Formats: sequence, C-alpha cells, structure tokens
Amino acid sequence: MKIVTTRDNLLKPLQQVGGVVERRQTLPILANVLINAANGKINITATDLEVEMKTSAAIECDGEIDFTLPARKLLDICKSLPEDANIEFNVDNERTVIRSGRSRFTLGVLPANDYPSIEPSASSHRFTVTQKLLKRLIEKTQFAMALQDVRYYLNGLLLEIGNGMIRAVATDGHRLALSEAECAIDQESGIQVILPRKAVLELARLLADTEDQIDIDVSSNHIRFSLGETSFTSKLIDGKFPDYQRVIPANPDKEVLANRDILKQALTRTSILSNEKYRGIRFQISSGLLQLLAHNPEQEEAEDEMEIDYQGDELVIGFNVGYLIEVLNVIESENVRMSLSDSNSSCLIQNVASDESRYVIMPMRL
Amino acid sequence: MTELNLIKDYKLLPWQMDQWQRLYDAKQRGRLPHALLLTGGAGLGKSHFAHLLAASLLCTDVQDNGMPCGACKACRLVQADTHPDFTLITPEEPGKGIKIDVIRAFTQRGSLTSQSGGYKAIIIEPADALNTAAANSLLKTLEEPVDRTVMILVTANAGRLPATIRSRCQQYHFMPPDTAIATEWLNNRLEGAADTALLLSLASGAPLLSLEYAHDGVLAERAQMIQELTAIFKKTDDPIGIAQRWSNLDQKSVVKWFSGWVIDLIRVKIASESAAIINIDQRERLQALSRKVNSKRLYALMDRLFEANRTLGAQLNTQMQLESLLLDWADIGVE
Repeated sequence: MKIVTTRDNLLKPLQQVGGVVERRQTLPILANVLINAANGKINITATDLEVEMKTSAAIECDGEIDFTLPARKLLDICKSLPEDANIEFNVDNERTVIRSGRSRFTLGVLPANDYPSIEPSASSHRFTVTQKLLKRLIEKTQFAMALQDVRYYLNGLLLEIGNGMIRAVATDGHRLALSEAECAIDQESGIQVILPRKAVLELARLLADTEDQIDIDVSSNHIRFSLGETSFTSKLIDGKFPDYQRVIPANPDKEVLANRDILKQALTRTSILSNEKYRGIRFQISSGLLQLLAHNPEQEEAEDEMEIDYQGDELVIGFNVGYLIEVLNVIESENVRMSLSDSNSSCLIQNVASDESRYVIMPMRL
Repeated sequence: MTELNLIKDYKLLPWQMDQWQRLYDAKQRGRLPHALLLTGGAGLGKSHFAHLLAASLLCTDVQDNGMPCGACKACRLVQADTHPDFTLITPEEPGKGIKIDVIRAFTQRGSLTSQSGGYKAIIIEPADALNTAAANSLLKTLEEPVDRTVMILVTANAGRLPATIRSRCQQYHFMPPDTAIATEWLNNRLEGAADTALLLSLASGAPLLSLEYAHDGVLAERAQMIQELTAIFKKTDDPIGIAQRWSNLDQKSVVKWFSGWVIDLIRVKIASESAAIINIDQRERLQALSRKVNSKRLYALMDRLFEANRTLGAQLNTQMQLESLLLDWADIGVE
C-alpha cells in the first residue's frame, strides 16, 4: 500500500498531535501515532490514555489502511526534509518505508488493532462557542488549579454550562478563580464536568484568539473539542466539584480600589523579603493608604505604601503574595476592587468594570 | 510467576472455581468489592486468577459463566497490554520494591473516568513489594476509589503487608487443591514425564510451582544439595567450600531446601515411619540420619533457618551466613 504526500502537508498535523505523545511512556505503543489512510485523507491520532488529539492531512493513496508509526521519529524525519519535498510511504505489516528524493527510511510498525484509541461514544450534550471565548475562560482561571492534590477533583478545571452561561472554576483550596461568559446555549439544566489539568493546558495551547467556532461534545466519560480538522478528546475527572458558590464572600463591608499596576509592582518589590516558603505579606489598610509589610526568617524587612481609594475602619490582613500577583496578572482593567470584611475572612478581587471574573483568596494568619 | 502463558488461554484453573463463582455472584448483584486481596502460597495461580478477573471486568461481551470472551476489542487490547482502563503495577525489577512515584502516578490517573465507560481494573503484584511510603500513599485511594474501580492486590506473604492495607481489602484466600485434582492437572501438563507426587510434595501442593520445579532442573539442584549435606555430616566434605558454592545459587531455594531437610529430620525423629515428610523420596536416608542427630541442635538450626528466610534479600553477607549455618549442621550429631 502506497501513500504519497508532501512534507508541508504532513508537518503541521504531526506537530499538532506530537505534543500529546509523552516522552516517557508506560506502554510502548503510546510512542506511536495511529494513522488511518482513506479517500485522499489521512487521520493521525495520538494519545497518552488521558487525552487524545486527532487531525488530518491531504494525501494520495490507493485504498484504505490502518497502521501505527513512531511519532517522534516520524516528526523528526519530516522536519529534517527540505521544504516542498514529496514523501512516499510504503506500508506493509512489519515495516514502513519512507522515501523522499534520495532519502530512504525504514520504520517499525505496531499493529493498529492494539492502539487504545477512544471510541466515539454517544454525546449527551453538544454546543458551540467561539475559540476566543473558551481561550479567555481558560486563561483567566487555569492558574488556580491544584497540582497533585489528594482531593483529586481539584486537579482540574470545572466547566459549568447552562442558562445561557458558560463558567470555568478552578480552586486549590486556598484560592479560587471563576470566570463566566454569556453564550447562546439552549441547555435548560446546567451540566458540570471537570477537565483534568493536562487537558486544560493542552487545550489552551490549541485554541487561537479568533472568532472561529469550536464544537464541544460532552459524554459521561469524555469531552471532545472539535475545531475544523482537529479534534481533541479528554477523559474527565470522576468526582464532584465542591460547592464553589459558598466560598465567594457574600456581603463584604469594606471595599478597596487600587491601581492594578502600582499594586502589582509594590507587591513584587515587597515579596523579595517575604518568607520564601510561606510568602506572607501584611496589608495595613487605612483611609486612602495601603501599607505593605514583609519580613523573612533572617529578620530583614520590606515596607511599601501606595494610595488607594478607601474610606472606613483600619484593617490588618495577611496574604500569600504569589496568589495575589497571579490574580493581578490576569485582570485587565486599570483598577481592581478588593472586597474584604475582616482579617479572618477571604478577600474577593475583581475587575472594577465587570464582574465576569471573580477571584477569592484566603487570608493568612501572620 | 511461571513462564507458561496461562493468561492468554482464558481458562480458569480447576481449583479456583469456588472463588470465581463467589466473585461472579457478587458482580451480578452489583456488590463487587472495590479492593480485593488474593492471598495463599506461591504457585497456586493467584496471578492468573487476578488477570482473568480483570479481563472479565473489561470485556464487553462476557460469557454466561463470567469468563471474558477473548475476541472483543477490549479483550484484544488486554492481550496486547494496551487496554487504557487496565493498570498493572509490578516492581521495576523482580525482587525490588514498588516505589511511591509509581503509586502516585497511578492515583492521579485513577481519578479519571474510564475510557470505555465500564470498569477500571488495577492489579498490584506482588503487593508485599510495596514499600512503606508507597503503601501509605495508596491508602486513600484504596479506601475510596472512584466508582466502578476494582483494585486487585496479589500476595503470597499477606503478613508482610501493613495492617492498614489488609483491612481495606476483602481477602480471598487460595488453598492448595486436593492431591487428586493437582495430580491430574500436572499429569496433563507433563504427560507423565516426571514424579508428580514428589513434585507436589516439594511444592507444598501448589500445582504451578510443581510445574516450575519440573522444568527448571530444580530437582537436580535439590538432589545435589542433599548429597552435600550428607557429605558434610559424614565429614567427607568441607562446609566452607560448599557454602561458597551455595552462595552463588538462588538464596530463596537454598534456604527452602535446607530448612525442608531439617524439618523432615525432626519429623522423622519424632514420628519415625509414620511422619508426613516433604522429601518423600529420601525417607530411608532421613531415617538412617535421624538416629545419629541431636534434637536440641536440630531445633536450634531450624530456628536459625527461619530467621534466614525472614531476612532474605536483606543486606547480609550470604556466604558468611551459609558458612555459619553449615558449620552448625556439621556438628548436628554432637551430644
């Protein structure tokens, strides 16, 4: 069986799926990509058993065949061939011979039947959003996902869809990020799925800042994102996400408005002398003035102050500076609003102009 | 366990029907335990049972008796070791421990939904190879895995597992089958080419272990060791030289044959002709020897051999340990 195509046709799809192939695999066949050639098209699939990426490329072939080839080697071969080179595959049961110009490569083949690809299961929900919207949701929340927490349901991003809204929530138990957007989804009852961490990071890489549509299919075990020729499937985390609404402070009585850039710079400066492990910073909030204080085990101290828009009682509260800076990085407005009640209650941080993204940070006892 | 590829022929071993039936009934009633601990001596086919059970949980076309069909896509992937919902956790090298990283990687993946929408099966074998940290990191998952997950722990030394692991699993204990069943099974495999009675006796009735003994020239090794023990006793050979030779053999079987020999001697000394012994082909030699040995010294040596068995794989100098044991043996007749 012979397959003919060009290097440029093949390179981009291979690079796209190549990101999914892990460097150290538990099973030898996961180092391979599954290739299905039929009707002038090849479908290329790569998986690490957690996520699966599938894309296609135009080719010429004289029949239909399934086989697998080592992903990284195939990609390296394509990369190193000259641009516009023609590539010819000769596939048989044991070996595949790749010819291009005066080069010739013989690669080992593993049986396609042994490849653990995901069977398309009946999706229970299906909807469409723009790439830009989904990318924004992920960017605004993904930093708050837990990393290898025993509460496995926190090691991912909650997607909640319903009532004309799509909402992403991530938390690691110390802070929470929530972002939502309106979208035309005729979905009466809300559905909740938790995307594993790896899928979220891979998806963020895949999405572009465009108005192009992306189809999302949710079944009981999987979620599938289809963008044009490419589809990305991930398993879900099999657990229940905690009730995040309860975490968001209901009626804080103190409101601080601060310039985002100035606050971020002050925090970055002060953090240099904060305890490297706990990264605590003391906030002293009084009318019109915010003082930042940090000290480390060597008794070195940093102090900074800035003007803020605040009227009310004095308040002293501690925060992990790393969490604050990560939040300030993803807020886009010029000013941010911090809503507080006392030194033991969590703080809500928002964009002044809109409340589509909300960030909650637990205080530290200093 | 054995080199035989029993897994792929999808046959239950004849002495495992009861356990299979009990688990199959439990599955039918939706009461399959999420964590199973298969215990019992080596060579009883526990591993085979575990793999069959895992395959039957994953199979999409299970037969009436609960056996996997061996033909559906799930079964094909299981045979190719690529089924995404099946995890096998074993030590990286035989005899080494299972490390915490392996368990952590598994618990991360274990929280995801299954690929096929059905069960997820995990086999940890041998479970006593889990080191302390790995065992502790498994506890949370072992206690409350996500739905439709079955974790099968296989061990021949349940006593070496932490109590915290044992108490979280439902135990299924495997006993050696009736001699008749085992002999018939063994005869079918060996086609009458070996002394099945002796093999079974040496393997404490475990059929798969007997089969292994029949194949690997184990009998010849045992015979030579008995010769050498006799020679040391008669002072015609040097215990130090023999200790050096033995230190190059597999220590597990050395300790096993040596202690088997000493135990037999004790039995024969007490019960004479009626004693049930392990080395059934050596009864006359044992009886002759038993008249010349000192019971107190025999018991002391047996204790030391049990101690040696317990510390197998520890950082002891094998040759020195064997020298000391064999010197004790050389003086076994002294009053």
